[in-house]
Amino acid sequence: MKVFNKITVSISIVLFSLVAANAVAGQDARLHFERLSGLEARARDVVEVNVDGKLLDLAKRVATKIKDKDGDAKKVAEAISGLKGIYVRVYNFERENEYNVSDVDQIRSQLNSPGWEMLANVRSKKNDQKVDIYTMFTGDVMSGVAVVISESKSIALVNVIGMIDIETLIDLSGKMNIPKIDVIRDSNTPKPKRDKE
Amino acid sequence: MKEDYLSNKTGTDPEIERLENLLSAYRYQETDVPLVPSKIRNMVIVEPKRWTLSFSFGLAFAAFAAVVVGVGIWFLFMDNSSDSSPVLIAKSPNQPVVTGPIKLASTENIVNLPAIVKTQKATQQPVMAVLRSKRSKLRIYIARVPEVKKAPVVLSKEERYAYSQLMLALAITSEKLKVVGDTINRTDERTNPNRTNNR
Repeated sequence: MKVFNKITVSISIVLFSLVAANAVAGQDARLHFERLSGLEARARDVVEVNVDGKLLDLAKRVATKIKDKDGDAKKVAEAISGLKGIYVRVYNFERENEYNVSDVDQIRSQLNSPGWEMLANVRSKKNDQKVDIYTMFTGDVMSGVAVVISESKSIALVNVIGMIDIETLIDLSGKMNIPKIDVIRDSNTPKPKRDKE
Repeated sequence: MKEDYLSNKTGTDPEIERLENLLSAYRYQETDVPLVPSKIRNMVIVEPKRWTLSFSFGLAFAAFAAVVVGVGIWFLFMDNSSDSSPVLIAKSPNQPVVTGPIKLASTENIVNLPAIVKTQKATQQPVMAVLRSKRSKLRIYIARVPEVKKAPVVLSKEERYAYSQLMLALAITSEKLKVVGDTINRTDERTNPNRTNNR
């Protein structure tokens, strides 16, 4: 009887650890945007997109179902085949410094946790621009991407969980049903000059 | 030369006798009947197989039938008047296509064709050409092989919503990644103005 109990306990521990490891691997890359919910009232434009779980499965199925001449839908389907979730927040404000910088810093602090690796970090005094891009890898497989862009009049956060082919995604920008939109820049904002700074 | 010796072999003719002696080696000599060789090979007579015969006959019959049918069709459509010559009515699905019985008596009718022609919808099978004979009521429609169009993907409301949400998320993500890339490139150019940007 004691042997049976030992076996049961050890199997339970192994199963629990497997489930926990799986859960941790899936959830580690997830950023928490709850604190930003207060910005919705102040922002002029808000874009909030959460695609995960069944909604993502459904969208993946649609992407594989659609067949276009250029084969872009197929490329999208292949690019997102390893995707587990994608969360986007974009806030555009009427005036400068209308949001609390600490709210964004709180998001950035989440990226200091182990697992995240900084890919790029740019700070510019022009428009008080701060650009951060982080990636997370589980072994050799990419398990998450985080993009945080804050300017004086806008905040943009992208959190991708799972594997995604970024190069293909950038190539397909503006094609197919991916509209080429520019959420940050509005018509009044001049395009940044490259050479003169 | 004495003719008696040559015709009746009477008398003498030294000239002919000399020739006879010279050619005596080739004179006919009656000998016994030649013996049959001891070993006689049996000759095998290969008779043609039945199916070969039937195939040959079948082929010949098919060729004959084809010729008969061809001649029949030629006679069927042959007419003294010019009206029964084959008329190309429609060349492409976009052009009007004859759908009703039309008498094509002359070239004038062909000119006036649009007046008695109905435009065919894309759903109907496009007719490439119509061959018809005045003598008989037979009409042969040469139909264009319709392009196999795949049925459009029908998406439910939920599927459309899910796909649009995903596309929106991907669009913003790709846009932001571009912003990041541009920002990094700008920074690189500022810090290393001599560096050639290959991107």
